[in-house]
Amino acid sequence: MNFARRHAVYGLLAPFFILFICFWLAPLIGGVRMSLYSDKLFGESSFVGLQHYQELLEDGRYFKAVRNTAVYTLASLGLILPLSLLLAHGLKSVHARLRPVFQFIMLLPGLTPPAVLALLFLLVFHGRQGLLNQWFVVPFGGKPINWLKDPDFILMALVLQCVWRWLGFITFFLVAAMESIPRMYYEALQVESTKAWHRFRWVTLPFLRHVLLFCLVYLIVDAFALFSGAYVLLGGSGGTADAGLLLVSYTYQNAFSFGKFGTAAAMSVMVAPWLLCLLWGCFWGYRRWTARGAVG
Amino acid sequence: MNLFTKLHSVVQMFGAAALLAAGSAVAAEPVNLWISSFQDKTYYEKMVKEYQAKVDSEFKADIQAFGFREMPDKLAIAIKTGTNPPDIVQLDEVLFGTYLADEVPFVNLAERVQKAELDKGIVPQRLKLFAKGDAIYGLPQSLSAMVLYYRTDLFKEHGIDPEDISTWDDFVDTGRELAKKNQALIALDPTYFEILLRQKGADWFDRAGRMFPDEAEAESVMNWLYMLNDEGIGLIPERASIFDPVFFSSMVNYGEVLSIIGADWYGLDMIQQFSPELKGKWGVMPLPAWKDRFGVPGRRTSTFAGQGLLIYKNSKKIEEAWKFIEWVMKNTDANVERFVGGNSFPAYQPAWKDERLHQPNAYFSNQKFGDLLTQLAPEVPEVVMHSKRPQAVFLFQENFFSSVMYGQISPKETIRQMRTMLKE
Repeated sequence: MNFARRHAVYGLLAPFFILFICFWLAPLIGGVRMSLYSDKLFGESSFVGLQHYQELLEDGRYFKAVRNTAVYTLASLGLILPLSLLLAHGLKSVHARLRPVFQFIMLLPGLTPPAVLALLFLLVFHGRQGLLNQWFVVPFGGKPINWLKDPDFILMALVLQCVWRWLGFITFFLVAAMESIPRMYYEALQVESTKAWHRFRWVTLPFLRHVLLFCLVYLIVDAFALFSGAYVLLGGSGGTADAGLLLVSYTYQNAFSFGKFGTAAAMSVMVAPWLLCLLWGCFWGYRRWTARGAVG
Repeated sequence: MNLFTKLHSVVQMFGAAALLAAGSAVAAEPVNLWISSFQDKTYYEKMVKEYQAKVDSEFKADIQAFGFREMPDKLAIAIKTGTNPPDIVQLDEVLFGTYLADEVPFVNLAERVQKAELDKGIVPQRLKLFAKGDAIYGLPQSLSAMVLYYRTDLFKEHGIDPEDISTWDDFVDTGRELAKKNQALIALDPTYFEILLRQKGADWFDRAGRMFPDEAEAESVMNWLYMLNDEGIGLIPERASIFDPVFFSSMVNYGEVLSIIGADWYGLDMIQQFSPELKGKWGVMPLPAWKDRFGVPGRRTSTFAGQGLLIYKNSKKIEEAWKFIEWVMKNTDANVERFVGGNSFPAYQPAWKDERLHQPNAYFSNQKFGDLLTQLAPEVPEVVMHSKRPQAVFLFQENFFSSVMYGQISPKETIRQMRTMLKE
């Protein structure tokens, strides 16, 4: 193989790496550098080392944002994955001609820009006249909930928005994965049990674990990166008593509401350890599940 | 002529040509003007044309409008990175404090203001708005005097005479009567805390930089606002903001509240823009007064927010920018246009002599809005500027207001937590 053919692969990969360096690596290095300098907005900043990181460890609001983000992430996962599995099963039972229609409808929220979705959700979450109150709360005798101002419900509102956005998308992935499961495994299981739960537990779920891992990672990263949805609903703040304050919201506040770019950069860098912990947990769980000898 | 001389002449010619080109390139570049609202963009585009026609036909401006919340974000990035910053920026005074923490990125206009005698023309309390010590970094566009906007039709329907409401005690008594009929008298907004506190003569910070210097007054205002909400005299908008368009399409249009505290620009710009169908159904009156401990009523206005014009320190067109700002601030027609165009009432006193500022306003029931504002002008309090004021306003508005209103947190605890958050 001549030199050009041997090294053509680098040429093909070059665009990716150029973009990677320009839009990921360079900003990352710039951000880390910014986190080591003072918050001075105008003029030369001075080197402050790890001062911002130290201040974060003493900042109660920062830990509130971490807690809220963790609750938001886990609540979203806890709702989206089981519901998606349920919907995927239901969708598989739908007539083949109707299935694409339902799939498209379910994909729509995921294809909608988050800011647009949040604007729509303003109608849903509107205190007294909102759809949620008028359809699901008031008819059942409940008092209207101020979803975006009551600190007991703000985070729930963000979770509901996330569930609505991703439920269809994740269902779509799961349906595709379910359709790739070889029928022979179901036929083999039928010899021992005809229970639907056993089919799900011993065949469907193990075959879906790769896709479930992908969905888990996807949803965790999206939860940590959520900004536009929370920004439109809560205006860049965390809402009453910081009930909806997420890591990205707090980073934004520090950068643009308070002009503390150094502090905000430190917060951005600190997202990585939290995210890595959660992702490590996912992969650890996946490896244990696989190691127990799951089929597929 | 020897070769060296010929070469020297050629080099000189090229040098001169290059200088000319550079000079004309700088002269041809427009002044970049960043505006905080799309409505104001229309005004400044008109002003640029007027300025070109009357003062400097070579003047060019590139005006960009951003949303009120978006502009500070872009400005902060531009200043931090030094990339494409504006020459002139229209910035709200609430956000100005962000730039006071360290070196101020705007030109000190104090000498220029004195030379142009703008210090004699602009309402003194407003001149100190964009200032730090003796330095003046910006000029205020509006008087920003707080008034009480009220629904004349609904007041009449409920038998309320605005002349009977001269103090907040009168206001509460009227409100209690209305509350019996499940009618709220006023919309409640987080900004009212600062407005009413300032009306009482206190503020977020004092000149020494202490937060909540008059803690008792701060607590009493929060308790008073809580009382209004609790007794049904006041109603909090769905998103707890009287600046949200949804507030106008719901609470205002359905008559769920009969009055709103707002500045001149609030009525001229927001109420007229978002409730055009209520033309002729609004009236304006001074704020009811607080009584002091001797029972003597105090000032009948306050102030909050208001845009100003500032020049970026590293701008290459400082003189051009200043000349334009000076003209906009001093030109009578420019000042009148701000008011009649539905923007704000000017802070430049010599312009007040113009009759056009004192005409009946059809939207506000043919009241002479300008007359009321000029009467209230001497009572407009000063704002004590502090680098943490933007944070204080933001935190109270977003974190604490609703909790205080619903009794989830006491005013004392709010003050304590805010001091901790702002490390004061």
